[in-house]
Amino acid sequence: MKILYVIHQFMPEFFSGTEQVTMKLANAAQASGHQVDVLTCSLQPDAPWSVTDEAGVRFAIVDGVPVHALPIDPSANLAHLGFDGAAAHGALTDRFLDARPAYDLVHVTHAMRMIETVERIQQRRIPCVLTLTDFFLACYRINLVQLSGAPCRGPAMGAACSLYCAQGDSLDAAWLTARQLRLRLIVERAAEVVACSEFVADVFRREHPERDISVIPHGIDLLRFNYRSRRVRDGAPVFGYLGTLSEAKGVHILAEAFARASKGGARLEIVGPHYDNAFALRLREIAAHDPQITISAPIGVDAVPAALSRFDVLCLPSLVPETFSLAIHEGFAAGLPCLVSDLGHPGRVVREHGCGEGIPPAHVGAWSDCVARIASNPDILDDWKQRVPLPWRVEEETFLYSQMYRRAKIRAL
Amino acid sequence: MKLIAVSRVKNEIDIIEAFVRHNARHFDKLIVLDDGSSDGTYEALLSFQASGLPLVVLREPCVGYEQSRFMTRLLRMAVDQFGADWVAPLDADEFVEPPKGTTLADILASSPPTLLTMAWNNFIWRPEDDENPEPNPVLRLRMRLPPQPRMTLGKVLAPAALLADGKIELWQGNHGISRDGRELPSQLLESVNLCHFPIRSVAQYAGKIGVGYLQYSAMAHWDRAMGVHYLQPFQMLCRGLDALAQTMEANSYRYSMEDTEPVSGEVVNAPLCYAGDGLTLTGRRQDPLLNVLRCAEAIAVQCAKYAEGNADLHSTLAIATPELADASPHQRIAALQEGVRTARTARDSALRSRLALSLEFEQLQKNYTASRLVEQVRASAEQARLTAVSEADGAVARAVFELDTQRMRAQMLAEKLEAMRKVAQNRDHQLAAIYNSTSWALLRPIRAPLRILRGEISYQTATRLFARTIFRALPGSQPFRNRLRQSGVGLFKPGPQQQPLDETIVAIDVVSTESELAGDLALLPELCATPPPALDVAVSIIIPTFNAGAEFFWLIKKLQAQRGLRAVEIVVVDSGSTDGTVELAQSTGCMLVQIDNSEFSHSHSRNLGADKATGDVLLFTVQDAFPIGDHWLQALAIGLLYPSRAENRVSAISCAEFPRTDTELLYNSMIDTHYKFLGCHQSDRVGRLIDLDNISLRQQGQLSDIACMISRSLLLKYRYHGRYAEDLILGIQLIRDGHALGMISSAKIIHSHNRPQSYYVRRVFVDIIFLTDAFPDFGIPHGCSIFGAMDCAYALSRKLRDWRAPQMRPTSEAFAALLNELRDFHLPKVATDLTGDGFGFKPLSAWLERYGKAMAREGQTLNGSDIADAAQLRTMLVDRIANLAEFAEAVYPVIDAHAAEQIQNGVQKALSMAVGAQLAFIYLNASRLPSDRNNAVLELKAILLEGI
Repeated sequence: MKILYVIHQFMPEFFSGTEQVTMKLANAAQASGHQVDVLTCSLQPDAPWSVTDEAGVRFAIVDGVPVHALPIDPSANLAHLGFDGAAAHGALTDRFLDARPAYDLVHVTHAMRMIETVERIQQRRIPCVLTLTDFFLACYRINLVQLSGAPCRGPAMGAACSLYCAQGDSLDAAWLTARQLRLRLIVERAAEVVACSEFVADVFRREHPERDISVIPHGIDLLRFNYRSRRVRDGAPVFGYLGTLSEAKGVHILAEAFARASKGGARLEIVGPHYDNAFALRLREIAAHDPQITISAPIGVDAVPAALSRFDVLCLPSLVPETFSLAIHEGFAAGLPCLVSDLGHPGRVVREHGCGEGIPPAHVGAWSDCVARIASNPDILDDWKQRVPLPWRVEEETFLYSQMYRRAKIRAL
Repeated sequence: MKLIAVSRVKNEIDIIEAFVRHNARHFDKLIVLDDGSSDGTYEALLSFQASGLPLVVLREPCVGYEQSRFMTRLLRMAVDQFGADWVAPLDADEFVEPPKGTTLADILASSPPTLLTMAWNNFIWRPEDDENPEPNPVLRLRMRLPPQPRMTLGKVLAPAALLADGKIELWQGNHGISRDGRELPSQLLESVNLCHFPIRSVAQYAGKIGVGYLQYSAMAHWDRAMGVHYLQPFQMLCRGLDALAQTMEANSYRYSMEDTEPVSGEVVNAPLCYAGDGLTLTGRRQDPLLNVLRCAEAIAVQCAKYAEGNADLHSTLAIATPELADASPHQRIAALQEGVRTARTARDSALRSRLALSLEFEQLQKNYTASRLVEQVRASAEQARLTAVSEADGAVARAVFELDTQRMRAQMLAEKLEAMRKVAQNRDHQLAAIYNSTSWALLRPIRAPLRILRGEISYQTATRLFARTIFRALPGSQPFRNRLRQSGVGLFKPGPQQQPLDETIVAIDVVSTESELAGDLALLPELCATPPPALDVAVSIIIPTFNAGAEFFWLIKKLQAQRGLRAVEIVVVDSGSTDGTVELAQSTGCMLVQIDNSEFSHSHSRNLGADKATGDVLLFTVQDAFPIGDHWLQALAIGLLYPSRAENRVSAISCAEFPRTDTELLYNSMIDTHYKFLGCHQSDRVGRLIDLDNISLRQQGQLSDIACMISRSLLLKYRYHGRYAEDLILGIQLIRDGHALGMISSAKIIHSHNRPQSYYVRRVFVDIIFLTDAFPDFGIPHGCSIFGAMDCAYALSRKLRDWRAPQMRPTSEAFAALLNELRDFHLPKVATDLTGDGFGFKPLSAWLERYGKAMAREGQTLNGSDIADAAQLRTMLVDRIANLAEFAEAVYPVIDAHAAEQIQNGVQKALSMAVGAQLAFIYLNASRLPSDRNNAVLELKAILLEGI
């Protein structure tokens, strides 16, 4: 098959999670003998693209995968995400599709900035597999949190967007409704729709009750985690946080709760990068008053198993509903039980398996109580450990997608 | 005064916004009924409604172009439910245009309550209009014809008073109104234009014609006088969009006009006086074919619904329903007979109800003079009656067929049960004889110690079991056969009580209904809309291990996490691991069988595991594999035990491999070729004995022990044989005996290798030895010269070591150049001392050096047979690289650093494979060699087979 992956950003400009997942899918498709291309947007003309053609379309081969990028104005209104300059974007898409060999299948791994492209592809009746990794197609704020901070159940065909999240001239109620109606069609017209978790799937199932939405969880590189390196608890427990140090991730709530808790010799280790200096300083101030809290330097992907092997319990105090959370699944691979905000996919998975505890988000008192309870009775961690689920391998994810491709193609015939 | 416009629309996304925004300025409310649009029109209408425009949006998709019926309903709704004083039935391409400075309300205020007609002002489409980027079609199209003089081509505007009595009927097309079948007179409303934009772009017109024609076609007894303007354009559309486009401009001049009718006047550049706001949703995206297909699909769905109307009949048939899961064959047959009776009753009832309907229609005909309508309804009723009868007949036929099938199955089951009963009876007798025999009594004291010595049970367990045995042997206890089974003590320890597998096949409905993938033997439940129920099946997994490494932990965990089965047991057969594999197996609760490393062979280890296993079904896998998903075992068990179709019934089932992320190009290419050869590349293969030649036997009989599921009884009957390729040997034995085998890609297992160059020399050597051994018809090419083959191989190795795939060049170009170079490669003419790296395999390197010294041919000219071997090796290398090229060119059209490295490695390893093959040919021809060379070649074989 000739497969086109469509994604909002990609290597060699961006290297974050969805890009990695897409790269693995493309590599797996190649291993099965398929020809692949990636079509994305380019915001940085000075990124290491090999070629730029006369229309500004950039090209590079990344680890054997050809990547084509349509140029986009980096100053475009981010809230509009793919709606600005639509006509030009569409024309470039048509030009690209006309110039390439006919694709048998398109996999949209993220539609942000690529709405016009996806519509053109669907108009050409190329079977389209659509992955829902977050709530972009349901929420212009992406996180499914209303302007007031309250959790949202879904757009309700744009009515909820108009009611709770309209703001200013460019994001007024009519625009939000129209946006939602347009995005609905993309979901409706996809040959297969796949969510990365039941939590995400349920939101879209509410919005599209007649649409089959499959769930294929993201896989991790499981073999990097050696069971022989697992920590055997010795004395007071070590609480760990691994991830970006940001307000949305709620790490400050965890730190405040830990500082406040009656915790004996328990320690909290915080590991991760930060992009907001003010927030990082605030976090350091909390840690400065409690010697049992340490903040470590960010680590590379390869060092994640070793970092996790220093913890007894992983904490995910996020303030927004996480659609998947690679961290919790890597924690499971390291055999760690988890304390999570009772939100989103992490809250759900911990509830289902009983491998930790879900705590009200942003509730310092509740987090503090939980830390104290574990510190005084760390044996509870051993009980939770027994129930830690086995995360999926990357290859499991890619195989199920290969079957999705096959089914989408058969249905299109 | 309240003015309301009513519309019924379908696929008008390019104009609907302009229609709503403009006409909302002239009417107090617009009631729009969407007829199942597939292009976003309905969603757009909802959006306009949400944004506050005076809009009532309804949706009622309908097959057939029953415009008149729906529009009449809307007219009444406007009056009865929304209090309209005047109602205008408008199409989405019609825009009212009162004189500047006035409103429609102003004009109607002075008009008596009589039927009025607004004349059409047709707008002309020209090819250049499609170049205009203006998204609003009513601004894009600027050229208009004078008002259409024919009243019948205008649109009515009706006062509420006229509609009050409910006996009126709006004409198809909204051009007039009848009461009791008689046309009502109307007056022309001269001051108001009804600007009409029927043809707006090629895409829009193609969609309109395609969908409109289909809608009319779906009407019973289509009167071609209606929708006549669709006929000729549809013929043009059938010839293609270009043909349609060529006629569009002319058609827009003569829209809805008779052929003989003259065009009324000159066109003028006078755009519509557009009163609406700017457009926010309208783009110029339209896919005419998609809309036509969606319409055709809707019609097909409607037809299917007629058939589904009799679904109740099917449900009564109760084939394999859960309630019958535990029923006896007799109960099942009785239920089916009841189903047949119900189906027949239902058919009779359907006939009676259709008869009653016919009478009602006659009554209707008396009441309505609109004979066309009655005729149409009668035709629909007749069609429905025929469908119902046909469906009922079909249901009865299916029920009878199922009944027969079930009866036959029940008979077979009864026979099997009887046979099993006899076997069980015999076994009871045998066991009774044993249990009562003197030898049994004499051996009793030493049985438990023996089992303790063998490590099967601990001392404490033996003591406990002994006590339990004594207790259960007491008079009045359970029948002794069950006691014996449960005690687990004794030489004749039977397995747990087994389900007769074939019987459960009819008792559990686990067959997937995913019709698109109906050919698949196994479907992972993760891909099913409705996951199958858990199976009452116990699976034993047998894994031969040797230093399995840390990864083995994950395999055990994954297998233990499998769901949807009664039990999963893991039997590890370890042949001397020193890396903690044994301890891991023990600590994770696996059954462990330990053998000496010298005792290992692929067959023996697996047979040992099978002997120890207690499951109904065995699954053989390997230590470095990994199942996909949490229901992988269940999917295979369903494929083996509960096939979706009779032709998919297999006796053993194997999975194809899905490569790991660290896989390599050459391995992927080989697997691709292999699975294409086996027929399981894209779909599942059911292998049966077709022919007896080696190719057919290998194609049809291949099983793979990477993942192979088979019932325990069948495996124990056949057992594995051979030092290697035990899976192929077993598969061929099975198909020779009439069994069918599944080799599937619908569920795979993660497994691949990234082997060093040395591996491929040995692997190919072993494969060829096996193939010639197992298949008498496997031809053996010539091969007699170690010097010819290895001097050539080393020369090629030096050449390929320096070869680099050129980056940013097409892969096909790079391979073509390489293959040309290799074909032209000059074979060596003089023998060397055979010094080299042995292709990464040191024992081979050492053997070659010894051989070179012993033969002492260094510097001598190579002879004809040397050259023939060299040429054969070169040819094999070219063929293997060409095969790699085919795969690589598909995957990497252009070479980058990553692809270059993969290709480079692949080419080197292809050489190793060619060397392994040529060495195998030399070994197979060794009997013709002088004894010293023959002995040397036998030594070579031992080196290459060491440890395999």
